[in-house]
Amino acid sequence: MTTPSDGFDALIHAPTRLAIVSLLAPLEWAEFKFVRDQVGLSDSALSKQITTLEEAGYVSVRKDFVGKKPRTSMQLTADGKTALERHVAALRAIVGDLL
Amino acid sequence: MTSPTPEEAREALAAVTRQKHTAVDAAYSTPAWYFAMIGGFTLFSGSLYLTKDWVERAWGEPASFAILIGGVLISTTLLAAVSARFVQRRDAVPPGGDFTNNRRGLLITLLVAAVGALVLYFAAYAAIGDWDYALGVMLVAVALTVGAAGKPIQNLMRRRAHRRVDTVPAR
Repeated sequence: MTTPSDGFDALIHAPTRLAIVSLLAPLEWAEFKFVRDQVGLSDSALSKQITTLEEAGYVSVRKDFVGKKPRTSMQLTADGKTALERHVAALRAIVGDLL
Repeated sequence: MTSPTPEEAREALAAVTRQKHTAVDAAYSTPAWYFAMIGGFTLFSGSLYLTKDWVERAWGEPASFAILIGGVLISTTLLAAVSARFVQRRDAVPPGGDFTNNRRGLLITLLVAAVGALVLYFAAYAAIGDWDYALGVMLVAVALTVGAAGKPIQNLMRRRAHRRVDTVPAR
């Protein structure tokens, strides 16, 4: 039997991580600075959250150079997309209980 | 972590939707200098056209024809590829929008550019009856087409992306 909270992902549900994965969802790649500015985190706080998401297999990180400047880009993995979709479905199911 | 209350879940859903729309808008925002590309293409085409007679005298008509057509196709393709790369912000790339990672997109653009330019060339010749004027018309028409189509295509892609965000995924 399924319950409304099936698919609920506690790791994604934390507000900052939910903001990060939601921002990355419609994109192919996003640069670190862009995500930092949109989510409103400091460099170190974002770095910590990205590491957590990367360890969970939800985000992949690419580091390259533009001239001599390092550039960090990130992308939601297929597992990350699936987890977000399942999480959003779980949230909708929870909201649906109210209606 | 326990499941959120319905009210918390509703707020979280609204936050997800907001962030997705923000990402789509950022990915399809246009830097002003994109439009400078159109001017660059027109200048390039004009230069080719003006040097046509010189090339023809130096290497003959077939070489002149080949250089002109090749130049138009290459510059049109490069323009389309560069525009597609920069029509979105460099710091947020929508899926399929990055031509450097999208060889299929580049090939399709090349094919469309080649067929489009040749059709325009022959259509202009059929209408005017002069290959030189037809070439000039074709070059201007390609530049105008690329310039006129760029912004509406970008808007169309952005609207589609917003619709995808609003679409509820299948459970």
